[in-house]
Amino acid sequence: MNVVNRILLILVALALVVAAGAVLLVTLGALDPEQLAPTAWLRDRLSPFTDLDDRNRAWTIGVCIAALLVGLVLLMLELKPSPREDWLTLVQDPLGRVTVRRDSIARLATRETAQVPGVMEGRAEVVTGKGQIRIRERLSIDRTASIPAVTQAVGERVRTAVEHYVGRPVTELRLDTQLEPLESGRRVR
Amino acid sequence: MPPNRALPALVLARAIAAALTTVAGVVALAPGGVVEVATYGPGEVVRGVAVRRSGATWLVAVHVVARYTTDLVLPDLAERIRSTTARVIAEHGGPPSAWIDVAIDDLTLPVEGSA
Repeated sequence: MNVVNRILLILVALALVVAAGAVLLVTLGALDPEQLAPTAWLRDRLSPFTDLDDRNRAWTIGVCIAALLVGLVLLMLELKPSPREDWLTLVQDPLGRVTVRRDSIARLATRETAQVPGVMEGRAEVVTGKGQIRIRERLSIDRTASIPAVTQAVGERVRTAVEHYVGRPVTELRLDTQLEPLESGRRVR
Repeated sequence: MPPNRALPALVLARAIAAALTTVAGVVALAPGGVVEVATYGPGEVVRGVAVRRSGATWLVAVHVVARYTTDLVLPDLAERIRSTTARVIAEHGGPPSAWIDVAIDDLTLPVEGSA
């Protein structure tokens, strides 16, 4: 969705929340239209909700709550951090933008880890931001293997593969090793 | 060739999608994530290629799944995708300039022990 559409959706969601909230407060008797509405036009729109019969009051309250929830959900979806944070931008020039999903880098790192002898299991996580690539990986290592040798081999292999793949340096590579199996999550494929 | 202003986005998206499947390193087109990347037309949807016109130029977004090999370099793959897309636009009488976004959505990995 482009920026204009997103701004429009945010404004619509805000209007929905404000309108539903105002009607709800008036219907519940929490506030008078005079307290809520700064203009006569708005007061005229809100005043019919002050003297509803029981059936219409219940319906109004239900609809207002539903509208409030819809508005809040829309606002949350639109204002949450951009999905672009899941992406690493490789190129941005007058011809367009080239991006790669962060997960694909993590999958590659995990796969390369599995190729190193002595690694029982590995799980990589990639954090990107401001063009940087930071890889954090947990390793379960064979008890008979040399931990320094295995971690060095994993580090070199992962760094080489990822840097070749994305065409830019890995800013940080952190390996946490253990002899026990990793607690949960998917195994190295 | 003068720009073809009557060129429907769907026709262009269809042609780009067909051309991209022949690019080395591209396994498939990807439909995107939460927001679907697609071009819609009557009774037809081209997923993975979003084409729309903005004034005299085309805005194109393509999402692909790449095939991992040890010699895969993403910027090179992206450049092949861009040039293929630009060529298709030119062949269809599109304007000489277009904004082309390339997204590598996923990676198919070879089985363990190979590649």
